[in-house]
Amino acid sequence: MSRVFKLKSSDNETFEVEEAAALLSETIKSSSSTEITVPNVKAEILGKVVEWCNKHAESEDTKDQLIKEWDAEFVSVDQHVLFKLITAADYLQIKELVDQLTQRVGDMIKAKTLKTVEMTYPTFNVEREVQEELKSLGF
Amino acid sequence: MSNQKKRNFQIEAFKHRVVVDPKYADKTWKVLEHAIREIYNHNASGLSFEELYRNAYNMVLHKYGEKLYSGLVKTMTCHLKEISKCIEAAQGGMFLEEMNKLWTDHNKALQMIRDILMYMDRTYIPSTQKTPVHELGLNLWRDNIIHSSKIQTRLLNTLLELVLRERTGDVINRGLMRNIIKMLMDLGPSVYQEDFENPFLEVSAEFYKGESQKFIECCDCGDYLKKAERRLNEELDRVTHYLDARSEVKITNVVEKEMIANHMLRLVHMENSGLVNMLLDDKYEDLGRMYNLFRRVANGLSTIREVMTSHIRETGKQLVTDPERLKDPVEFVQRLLDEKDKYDSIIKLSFNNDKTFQNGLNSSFEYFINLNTRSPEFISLFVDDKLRKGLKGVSEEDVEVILDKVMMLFRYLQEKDVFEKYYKQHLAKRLLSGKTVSDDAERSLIVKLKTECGYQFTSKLEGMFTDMKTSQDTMQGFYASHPELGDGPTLTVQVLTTGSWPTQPSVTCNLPAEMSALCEKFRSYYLGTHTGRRLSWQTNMGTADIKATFGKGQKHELNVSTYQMCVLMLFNNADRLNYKEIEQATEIPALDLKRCLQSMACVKGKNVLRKEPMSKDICEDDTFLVNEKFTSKLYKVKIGTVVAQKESEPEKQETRQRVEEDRKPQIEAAIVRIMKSRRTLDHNNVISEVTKQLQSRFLANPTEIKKRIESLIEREFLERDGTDRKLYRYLA
Repeated sequence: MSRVFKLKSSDNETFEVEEAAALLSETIKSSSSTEITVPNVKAEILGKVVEWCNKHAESEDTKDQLIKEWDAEFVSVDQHVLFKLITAADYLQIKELVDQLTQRVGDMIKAKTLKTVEMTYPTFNVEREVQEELKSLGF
Repeated sequence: MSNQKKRNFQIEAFKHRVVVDPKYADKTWKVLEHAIREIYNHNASGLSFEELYRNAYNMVLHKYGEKLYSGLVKTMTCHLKEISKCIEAAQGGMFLEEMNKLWTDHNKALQMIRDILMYMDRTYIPSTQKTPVHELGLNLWRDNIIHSSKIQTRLLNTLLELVLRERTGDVINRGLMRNIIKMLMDLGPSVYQEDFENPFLEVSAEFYKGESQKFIECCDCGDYLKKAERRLNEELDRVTHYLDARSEVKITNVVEKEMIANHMLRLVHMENSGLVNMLLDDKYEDLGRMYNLFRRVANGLSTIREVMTSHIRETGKQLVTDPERLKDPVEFVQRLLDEKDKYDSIIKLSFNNDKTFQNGLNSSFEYFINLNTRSPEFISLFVDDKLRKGLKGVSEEDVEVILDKVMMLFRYLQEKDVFEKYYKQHLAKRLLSGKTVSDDAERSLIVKLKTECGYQFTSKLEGMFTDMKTSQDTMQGFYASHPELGDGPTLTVQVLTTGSWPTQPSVTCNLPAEMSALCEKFRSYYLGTHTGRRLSWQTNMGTADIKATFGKGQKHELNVSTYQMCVLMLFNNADRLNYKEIEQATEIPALDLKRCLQSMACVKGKNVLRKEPMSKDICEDDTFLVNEKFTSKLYKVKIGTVVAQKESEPEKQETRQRVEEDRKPQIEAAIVRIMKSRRTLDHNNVISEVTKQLQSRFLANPTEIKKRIESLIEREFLERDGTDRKLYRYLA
């Protein structure tokens, strides 16, 4: 018999989560009660987190190609949502989810890098800069 | 130097909705501090996990992790200091109980605290490399309780005292001990070792030093060992019940050193109860215990082994040089076998079939058996006795067992060629008198000797058996071709090939007329079918069955030697004869004649002749008559079987001389073999090679080898090198 956990969002919406999915969260694991209120996280975000947990409770093998694809879909949201998800995952201490989300942020930064630089300094040519740098190092 | 262009990319600051109140941190901490105290006071049920978790989370998020952490340290330390006072105040037996109870409480509380502070544990602490909550809790306990000045010594002394009480026979609370020791183990290996284990080992060493001293003064060896064994088992038991498993080897080392290693020699050599006494009395259990205990310490087993080996050598030496024992060869050998059996049992039952002990036993036997030069002869006599009558009615397997034991003694002999000579003599007598109990047993032993020494050793022995068989066939052929002889005396001839049988000097003997005619017929028959051979009658080795009628008509069949037959047949033609007449008529050599007459006239129950005067010895003036009054319960009377006996002194000298003579060609053959393959070799190497080659037969004497070399040089088989006198060269 698996227990059922109740997760409450800041706007008072309750999500019921099966034990297998819930125990992906370290916080819930340590908790003495089966009802957790997650502060500052709205229902919309909490719902997505629950969705992630359910998906990952089903299949344990995270190296599975299908899961990978699903995960990639999952994190393709805009910056605002992304940061809210990180907060929730951090509070609930779901390491895997935190890692995936922060990885996404890193990728976004990488993507932003060149564009932002060139937008800020129109005369700046990244390629030329790199080549000169390499020459000065002796390559 | 190149310029590293710093690339600072700014992510938009994440705005947290919670209001940042400067007093917020203080308020939040107060809540948590209260909660921790409540947990310690067993009031946790009133707390809300998620509320506390959220508070801790918020503090860390707002960069107040430091405040939270140091607050935790302060609160726990303060609490533990109070606990310390409670424990210090406990009296006597309650000291450990109180500590145990409070330790259990502390662990429960720590678990709960860790749960609510989990966020800090997983994020703030790793990044600042501070001690995680659980470990922190243990360290604070260690520093404030275990290492508190009022507790540290008292704890150790309490524990050690309980161990001492248990060692002196009291029953202690093992469960409590286990919990306390486990506490020390949980606090870290160095805590367990320094605050308990090391002092424990020191105190134990002192204890066992004293105890062993006390015991060794008043106990005998067997009892002491029992006590030592018991103490070892106790310590093992102690470790199993309430110490760290890794202490086992350390504490057993202490006991082994104090109780066994330090007193090893005194125990082994203890008067009236030491190792030698145990060996003599076959104390299997005590010996086994000694073995098991001594094997734990360095040189333990070698000490036992050395004492055992020298004891066996001593007793063996006494055995073989005791003149009383040497009177009966069969008893002598049986005694050796009994000794061997005794020690085989000891090694099997008490010494775990240890190979090194077996080797020690073997080398001891080899040493003392060869101290007596008559050992080969005696062993052959023992075998002879067994094959004549000793093995009668014994099952096949048991026969094999006895023969194997004999072979084992044989292996110890250095002078195997001497054994061979005697064995041949004794075998010849057995075969010719038909006195062997079992042909299979004889053959079995030959096979064993062949396996041990090679074909060369036994080829002649086998030749003897072949001769016996061939002779049977020859006799059948003889009687088949001379049917007219069926009514006369029955002749049975064994034709012996000279090389295979022990050499006998040729003897004179006048056979009675009836016999000599028959023998001539046989001789012509045999030489008819085997041209080019020479036959000579060995009258000193034959037997005869003759029917005799005495004074009152009593008839008996007498089984006698050929010599005795010749003497008795004379009385068919004369009533009384004196010694000289008998000697002339039979031409039997004096010594043999005297022996023969003595066996017929002076032995009770076999006195078919009467002698005048009735003295015990045969003199040249004696007269002999048939003893008309001879009686015997049996119809068939055996007189004078040719039995193998222990040699007299002159006979022994003779045999020894013959052995030495036989060795000379063997040595020469070995020298020639070696030189042929090496071409040139120096003196010392020749000696060692020759000795090695001949080792399986006898121990070659270097002086003798030198003489043989000289002889070979004379006969131009070898030469000395011109410049180096120590070098020899082979001459093809």
